[in-house]
This record gives sequence, C-alpha cells and structure tokens, in this order.
Amino acid sequence: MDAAIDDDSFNTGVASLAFPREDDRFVEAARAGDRRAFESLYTRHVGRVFAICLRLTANVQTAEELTQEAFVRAWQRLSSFRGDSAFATWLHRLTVNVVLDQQRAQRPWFRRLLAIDDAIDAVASEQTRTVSNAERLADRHDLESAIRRLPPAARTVFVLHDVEGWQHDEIAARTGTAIGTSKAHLHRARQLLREWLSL
Amino acid sequence: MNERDMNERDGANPELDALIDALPRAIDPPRDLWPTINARIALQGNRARPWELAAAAVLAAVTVAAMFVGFSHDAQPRVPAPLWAYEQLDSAYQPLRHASLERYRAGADRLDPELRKTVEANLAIIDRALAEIRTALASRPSDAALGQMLQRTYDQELAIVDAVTPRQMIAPDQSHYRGAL
Repeated sequence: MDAAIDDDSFNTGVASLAFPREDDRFVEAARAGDRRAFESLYTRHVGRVFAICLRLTANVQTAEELTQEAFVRAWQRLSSFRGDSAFATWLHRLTVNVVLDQQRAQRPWFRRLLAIDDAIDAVASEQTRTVSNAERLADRHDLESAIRRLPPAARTVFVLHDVEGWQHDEIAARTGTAIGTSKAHLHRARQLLREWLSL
Repeated sequence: MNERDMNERDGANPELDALIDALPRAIDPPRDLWPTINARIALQGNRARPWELAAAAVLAAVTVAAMFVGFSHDAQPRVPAPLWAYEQLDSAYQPLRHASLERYRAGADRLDPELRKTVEANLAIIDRALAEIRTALASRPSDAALGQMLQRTYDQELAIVDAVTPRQMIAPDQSHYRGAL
C-alpha cells in the first residue's frame, strides 16, 4: 500500500520546526565565524529548506543542489540578518529566492534540453507502467506526487501561495509577472489537483 | 508572509485545503548535504585556518561543489571554480557514461523503433550540448553556471538511458521519495 510506504520512506524533519528562539544564539555564533554553530542551524532547518526546494523544482537532485546553495548564501548574508523576523522566516524567503534565481538563470537552450526530460519521462512511464504507479495516481491523498505533475509556473504559484503562504502581489513581484497571471496559475493548479485527486 | 492567506484560496474545495494543510512542513534530504556546504563556506571565508582550507578544497573537488561557488548573481565575494574541478567531474562521469551507453547499445535492438529514434535524437542533442559546454568552459573556466550545466547534462544523459533500460526502471534513488514527491 503506497500510503504505508510513504509514511516510512521519509523523515518529516520535525526537529527543524521546534524552538525558534534557540536559533538566536546559533546565529550570533555563526556571524562570528563559528561553522559548528552554522551546522546547528543547518541541522535544525534543512528539512524545511529541502521541502521548499523539492516542491518548487519537483526534482530531488536539483533540490539538493539548491538546498546547499541556500545555506551557502545564508552564510554569506548572515551579517545582513537583523533579527526583525525569525531566522526561519528569513531563511525560507532566501531559499525561495535561490530557487527562482536558478530558474531564471537557465539559458533558453538549456531549458529546451530540460524539456527532453519530460518527453523521456512520458515515454518511460508508458513503457514501465506498474500497478504501484497506477495506484499512486489514483491515491486521493498523494498530493505531493500531484504537485510534481503540475506545469512549472502553476506549481511555483501553488507552492508559494497555498503551501508557503505568500500573497499574490509578492509572488507577482518576485516572479516578474502580473498579479492576475499569478491568480490564473493558482486557479489552474488547483483545478488540476482537484481533477487528479478526484476531489 | 508566513501566514496562509485563506481568503485568497478559492474556498470551493475544503478537502483540497485540508490535504494542503496536512502536507509535512519539512522533508529531510536523502543524504547529508552539510559536508559540501561546509567545504564551500570554508573556501569563501577568511576566518579558516590554512589546513582547513586545504581539507575543504579536497572535499570540494571530490564533491565537485566548487563549481557551484558564485552561482548566485549577487554582490558577494566569489571564488572561481578551478579548472581541475571540472576535470574531476569529467573523470567521475566518464566511466558511468561509458557503462550507460554500453548498456543502451546492448539493448537498443529490443526497443520500439519509434522510441529508439527519439532516444537517439535526444542523446545526439546532449552530445552536442556537452561539446558546447566544454568549449565554453575552456574559455570561461570559472563560470559556475557552465559547470552546473555540465553536470546536469551528464545526469540527463544517464537518466535517458536509465529510462529505457530495464535494469534502471526501478529508479532506486527516487524510491525514497514516493509520497514525498
């Protein structure tokens, strides 16, 4: 049963959600150059950062790379963190920026190359369709898999708005699109998810 | 910003909203990402001791992390990826590519002709892309974005062969993520 396998197949990183004020002392020490303190921040927050990257990119390897990039950038910019918001809030926004920067930086020809993945995946899925895959698509509760199937722009808006809690004006400003476009992508994403999940 | 704006959800499907609310807020990565991060920040900082820098440089070479330094387009100080980092990347991938393409050639006759045509057209595109990236790297060895493209292009080539080769259909690395994504 997929649901049972899913429950056991990944750790939801609960530790990274606890005790936000404890971040303060690690942040102070890391600002002074203490990499062990920064490692503590990594341990506490890597699950949230990876989840953001994974849902936005729908690709494990890319999410790993961008998680690393986000923490490196956080280290570089710790001096600019003034503590006006929680460290976690600052880190999550920085992570989204890292992902969006990466998506924007991809050259057009490289995007075409990436599109090959979709074609190959489609062919391969036809060839390798298994009972478990078919069951997974029919699983009303497999929202994560359904998010991965969304078109990239719709996925980005859905994750930022419905999962991460961004407002449409923030999404529009950060992605360089109109607010109406953001709303349209969200509407489309939710429509597809309802359809795929039979909701 | 972190509070969900429920008013802007369409409200037409509380069941979907409930599933969204039930998503795990955190997902642990399948491997420890810290060693690469540690290597990269050690290479950037001026606070590390020389032996730490040397150790970090070795680790960065092994993980090919150095080529991602300077990936962000900000005003932070950058450390260009050394040419040897790309050479390490090439050395690491060549045996994998060789084995992968051998496996493909061994099984290509059993593929549907149309699928085989598609696969080989895509492999040819990738081959040209690899040549272009290598040419670009020869003149801009510190371009981190090019390094990233090189690695991803290698990965794509491997992924394409994996997709049509029975041995790889289980995709073991991704199996941890059933349900996560």
